[in-house]
Amino acid sequence: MSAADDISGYLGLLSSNRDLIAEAYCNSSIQRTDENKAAIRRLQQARVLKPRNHDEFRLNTSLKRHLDAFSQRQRRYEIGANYSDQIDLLKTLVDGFTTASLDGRIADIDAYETDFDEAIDELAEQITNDLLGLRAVAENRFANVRTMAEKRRQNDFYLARTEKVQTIIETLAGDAISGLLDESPLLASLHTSYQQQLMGLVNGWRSTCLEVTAILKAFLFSFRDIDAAAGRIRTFAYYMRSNPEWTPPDEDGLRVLPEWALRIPGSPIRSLPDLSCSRTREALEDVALAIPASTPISTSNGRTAGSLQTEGDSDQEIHLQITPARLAFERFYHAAMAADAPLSALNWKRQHDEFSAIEDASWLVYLLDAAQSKIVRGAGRLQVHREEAPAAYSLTGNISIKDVRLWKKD
Amino acid sequence: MFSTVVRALMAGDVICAVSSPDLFAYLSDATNAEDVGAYLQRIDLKLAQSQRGSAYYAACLAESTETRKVAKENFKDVKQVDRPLVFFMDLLMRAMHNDDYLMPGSVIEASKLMASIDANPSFRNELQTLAILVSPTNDGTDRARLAKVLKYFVGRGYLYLSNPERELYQVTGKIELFREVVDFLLEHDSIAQVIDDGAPVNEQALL
Repeated sequence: MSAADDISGYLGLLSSNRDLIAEAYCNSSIQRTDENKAAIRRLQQARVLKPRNHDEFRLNTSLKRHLDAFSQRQRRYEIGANYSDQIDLLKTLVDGFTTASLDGRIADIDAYETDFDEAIDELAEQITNDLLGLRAVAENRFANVRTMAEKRRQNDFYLARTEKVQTIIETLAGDAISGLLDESPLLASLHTSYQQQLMGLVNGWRSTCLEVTAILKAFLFSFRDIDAAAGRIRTFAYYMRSNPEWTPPDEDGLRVLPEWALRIPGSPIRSLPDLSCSRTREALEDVALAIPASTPISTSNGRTAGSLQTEGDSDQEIHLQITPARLAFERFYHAAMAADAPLSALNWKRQHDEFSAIEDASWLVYLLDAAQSKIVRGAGRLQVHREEAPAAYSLTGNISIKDVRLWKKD
Repeated sequence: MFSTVVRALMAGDVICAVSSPDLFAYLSDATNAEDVGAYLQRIDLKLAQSQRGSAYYAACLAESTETRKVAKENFKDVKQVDRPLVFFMDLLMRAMHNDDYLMPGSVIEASKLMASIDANPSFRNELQTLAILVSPTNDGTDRARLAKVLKYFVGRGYLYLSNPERELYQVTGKIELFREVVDFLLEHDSIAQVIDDGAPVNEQALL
């Protein structure tokens, strides 16, 4: 069985037990039960799980770290890689490569070269991931931490960590490894690999380090600034309690206004649909169609089929309220129909005291409107004549009416 | 996102990582901030940031015709809001034995604050005074008074109700503007110096 078959089998084992592994990762551990004991035994044999208590198992550290990186889960005070050990490893590999080259051991030369290449790749990846993690915690200002005291501790820790990573970057960019690789022409292939995989990333790392350090130091400064700020608030509170009549200064006396005083009070912006746009109209149509139709209110409309009409219903009397103007018009209409000559509306109203509450102007307007409409049966048989007053302001187009006369058409 | 940010700024909102994390993240990108700033400049406004960097807001240009009018509004706001806010922050820091509440993002647990206030008659008196300052209505219990005070500062954007069920509030980035106001007032009226000199503050006029 080849190494590739082993790896494939191992991945198959992980895949077939993925639910158990996910549960162990998310809950920090998993309990052994009758259902899962066979699967847990297989995972334990493959060193995927390790026992914690008698029936409790945890994921092994390397797999847990891999899943942390995948899920971007942040653990408190994550220490990242041990870089000094890795730099020592690089030096050892360079030394081994030199010795193997001098001895002419071709197979060992190839093996050292591959290991060196992978070690650089791993180191570069770890530094990149470490800086990404540091940047994330710095930018979100330790959002997963609740208390300020803990934030302060974490800020100090990650600041020290960033400075340590920066030192490692400068070590790698300096002569620690490059100087070693420059010593012999035999190491040219390792030197090329080092330059390509690591030195090309150094500038980006330096820039990230500076950004992270700046954010963390600003945060640190704000922590240190807090005590002084709290003192100022207390002083101000004390002053205001001692001087209840104190009021802030007016802005009129200030030549230079502070920045905070320029903040606009603002007002919410409201959008109105542009009905001249066909797309807006269509969208509004869609909205209107989406509104469910309202249920009509059922009203009793007379007797339902098959039921007797109750006596109370038949005896019900309906009293209609007639407006005074309408009543006056009806009576004036009958008077006009009976009269031989045109009848003045104003004179008629003045003769009937019961309609004195109606204003003359309102009476004339109502009369003109009623005579033209079919408000009273037979109104169409009336001849209407308006007596117009001279227009005071002819250009306005208004018509002034002094009186209205009505008589029966011939 | 551009439109949402501009609308929020035009509405007078203070954008911070606590109350509007998405908008704050958008403005934290220098290119986006420049973009928004250029837009505001065309209407005689600018994108301003609190001195400590936790809050963005729209401000008038210093040479704008609206400047004095806007400043008048802000000074009026100082008169109305800052007195209760100074007393509230002072009470909060003393009751919880912690000065970190002046930092944006600090969490205020209403139940713990209530318990601390409840245990001290002096704090209870201060809460009553504060509740009257905020709104002169009778609230019955201290719990109701505290709820009213917290609601008042939520309404004015200094606190954000992050968990209504557990009554967890967070201090927003607007607190940095408040700190700037306090620094300005202390400096302008030389209040700190008056108190440091040890003279009774209400007798300054006589001296």
